Amino acid sequence: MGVLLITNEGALSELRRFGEALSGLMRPETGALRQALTRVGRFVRVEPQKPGKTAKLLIAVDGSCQTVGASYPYYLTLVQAAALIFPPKVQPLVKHRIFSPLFPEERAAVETKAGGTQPVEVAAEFRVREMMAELELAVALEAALLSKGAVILLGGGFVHFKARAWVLFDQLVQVATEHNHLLIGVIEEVSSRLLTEIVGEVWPGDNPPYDREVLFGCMEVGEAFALSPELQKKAGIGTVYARFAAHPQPVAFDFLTIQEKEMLEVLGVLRALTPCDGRGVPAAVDIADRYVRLTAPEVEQLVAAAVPAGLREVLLTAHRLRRSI
Amino acid sequence: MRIIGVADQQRARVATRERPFRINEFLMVEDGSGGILVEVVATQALNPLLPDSGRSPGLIDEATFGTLQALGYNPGNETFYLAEVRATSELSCPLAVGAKVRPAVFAEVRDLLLPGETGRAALLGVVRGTEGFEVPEELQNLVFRYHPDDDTAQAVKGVPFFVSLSELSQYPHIGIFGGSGSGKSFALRVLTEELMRQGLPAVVFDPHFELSFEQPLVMDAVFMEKKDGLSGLWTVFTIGHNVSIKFEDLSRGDLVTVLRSAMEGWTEQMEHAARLLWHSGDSAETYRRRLAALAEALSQKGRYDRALEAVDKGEDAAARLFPEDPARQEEFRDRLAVYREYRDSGIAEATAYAVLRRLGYLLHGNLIGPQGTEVLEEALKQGKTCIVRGETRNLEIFATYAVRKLFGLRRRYRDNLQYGSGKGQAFFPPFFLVTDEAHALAPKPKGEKDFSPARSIVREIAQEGRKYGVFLILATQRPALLDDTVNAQLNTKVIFRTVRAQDLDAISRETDLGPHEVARLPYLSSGNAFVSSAIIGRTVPVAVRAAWTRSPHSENPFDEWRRYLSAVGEDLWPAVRGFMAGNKGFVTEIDLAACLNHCQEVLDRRITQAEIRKALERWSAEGRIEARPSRAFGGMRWVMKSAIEGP
Repeated sequence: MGVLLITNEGALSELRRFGEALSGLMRPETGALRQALTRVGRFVRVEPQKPGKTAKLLIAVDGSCQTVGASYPYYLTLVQAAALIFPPKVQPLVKHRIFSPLFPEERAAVETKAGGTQPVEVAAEFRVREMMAELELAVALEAALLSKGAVILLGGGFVHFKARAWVLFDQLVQVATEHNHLLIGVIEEVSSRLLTEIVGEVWPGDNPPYDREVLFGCMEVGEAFALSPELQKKAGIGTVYARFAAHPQPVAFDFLTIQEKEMLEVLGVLRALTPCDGRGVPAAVDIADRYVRLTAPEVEQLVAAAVPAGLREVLLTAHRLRRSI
Repeated sequence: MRIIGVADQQRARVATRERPFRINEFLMVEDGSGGILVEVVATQALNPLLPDSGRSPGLIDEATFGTLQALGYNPGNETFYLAEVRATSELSCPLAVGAKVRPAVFAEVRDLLLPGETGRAALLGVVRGTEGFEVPEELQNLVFRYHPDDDTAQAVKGVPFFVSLSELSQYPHIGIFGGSGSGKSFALRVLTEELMRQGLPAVVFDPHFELSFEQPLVMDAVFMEKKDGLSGLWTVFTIGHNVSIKFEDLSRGDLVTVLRSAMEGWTEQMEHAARLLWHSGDSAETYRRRLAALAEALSQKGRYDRALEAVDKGEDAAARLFPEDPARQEEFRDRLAVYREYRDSGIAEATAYAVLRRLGYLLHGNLIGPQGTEVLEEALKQGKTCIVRGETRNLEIFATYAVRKLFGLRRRYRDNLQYGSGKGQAFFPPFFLVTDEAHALAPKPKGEKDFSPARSIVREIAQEGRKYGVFLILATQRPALLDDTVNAQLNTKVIFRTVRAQDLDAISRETDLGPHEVARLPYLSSGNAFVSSAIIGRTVPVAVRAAWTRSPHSENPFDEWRRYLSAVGEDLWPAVRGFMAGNKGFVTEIDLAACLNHCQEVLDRRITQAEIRKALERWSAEGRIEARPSRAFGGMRWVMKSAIEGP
């Protein structure tokens, strides 16, 4: 196999070109970057802290989806979201939805949405994300109504939820304020561009970096970078970056600016929850992720158990799966 | 508990969060068709938060672990348990994935684990993994397990394991395999006890002198009673004492085999001589005399040649040589006759002496004698277990002869019943042939120099014994060295701890033990075994029961040594005390010789000074006497303590 790859000259030269093109991208000195960054925020040390006064209750929310089938419209996507409550006195709250363009009403909705301006596949994909966001918010809402004074960890940034299910998000914000919950959006893949301008002058070349690139290796272990309130993704949403594990890639936490004080207080608990040799995400989020994760074989088995074979063959089996070599 | 993953018509995986599975546990798969009984063959515990993925150790971080626990979430609770299960019967379609599984109850496993009738079956132990079953009262407290540490035996829970002896007529022969200390000899004892209990005739070759049944395993009422129940059901025979090879029974071929077994270095010339000198109807004495005469004549070839010439001329050579002695004349004539008969047959003097030496060995060791196997046959007819003892090599020679003879008696009786008139042939009972170290009796053939006199008869019984009701129970620690034909005919195999790769290989080829079971073999504790039996049709893990009786040699040799040391010279105590009493209450170095004489006189045995000295030292260490340095003569003075008068 390895030999085959190496002898694939065309692919190799193309990839070399990619490598060369990107190797020109040099990072500025970490010191210079940090200095630039202090103009828009502050680096704070966060010591691990046992949950006690703060964060007596934790709710971790995550979603997962898995698609079975062929190309549009012959597929279905199973969407699942779960809210895990720590201490686990009640069973995790789980909700499921199915999206499939094979449902006439779904198909009509997707095609209307596409409206001829974008491919239906893209619209369908957007719909799945929307559905997952809705489902996640729904379980979060249900869990939020059950308790008071919890830390709610959502598996994704606030902007993402606002863009896809703003009604539910607003409801959640309202319940959170009423029930004294602290709402946090945990972002594993930082993909914002809030810091581009700030570091613009120290960044070489004309390739403006994303926040991910800027912050990579820029923070010490156990350090958080809190953006000043002027720099917000959207009104009322604050962001704090944190590197709580050995890995140099930080994660981000979105919060409601009105809860900034509580947010900074709870950072210690979040650090304590983060395995120091891991990727920097609090374990509760990973546990929720594992709980909710749908794997392809699992969904295939579920479909096989629930959908008659004839229907499956006509509508859901990808022809490519029938390859014989 | 549910079936997960991919299942086939034999195997599946079951998962649960409730509790770990026990190996060999029985589970019931409720697939809607009345349930399928499965057995756990391998178990695992798994925690997805602590994966062994090579990528990360998971939540092993103490701080995170602790924080999660502080939040009331215990990652340890995420552990779930997996079991690989195997269906106990043949299925026509795969086990249903997703089906619910529950622990089986006794009624569901009864038919699988117990023979229809337990009264005529041999009780071997308990089935492992059945400890949790509620067994009916009549099956409780049947099996005990021995705890060597405190020398006690306790009843064990679980379903008793029986081997149906009547089924042996269909699936004959039992093999017991296992290394030293694995429980093999114990199992042999257990099986022998069961044969006795059933009153089945058996011949047991006991090379280790360990099979006797007069001592209970532990001093417990149950064991005493069981031991008493066995008395009178067994008899010990000692080769050369009350059993031997009867020369008259031997054919020419048998005789060669017996002579060849006696010593190493058998040659073609010897075989030629031994065969040629044998006459039909010979007794040991006539054969020996003929052989000795020839050897003697060959050693004085010239003299006998001259005598023959003279005889041919019509002279009486014997009368000339021994004019005054008619007895010697007669002797000489005999020798001359033998010489005449065999002088041209190419037998060398050395060869004749070599055969004579071998015959001498057999006769002096009483291996060949007048007793034969009559008493043994009589005991078999009474349904007794006959323990035959002898030094290893003699036992092998005798076994070759005895087994052939006894099997012949049984075969002739049966054949006559079936093909002949059914009259005229005396009854001979079916019997069991039991031996340890069976690989010595029936080893795999090896090369040109191969010589194994008993192999052919053991093979014959392995193949034909079923027809005649003669069954083998063979124990060995080297199944790989056992003859293949014999091995293949052992329809029931009891397999204990085995470590050698060669033997494991032989076991996995010769039994239906799966890879899981074979992998467990090197780690089995003493007394635990797998029974792979065509009678049961499957492999059963068994904890072999404690025998009711114990071997007289079961004492640890180091314990024995310590006991000896603590007691050696103990019989001297009254004598030494007597001497002291007459010697003002003490013994000094110079009195030792006198003391020694006194003791020898009293005890009437030879005593060394070292022995007395050792005993005195021990008694003074124990405080029975007092040792003081003797001022007058140097050395020690041992003084009797008047207060402590000893036992």
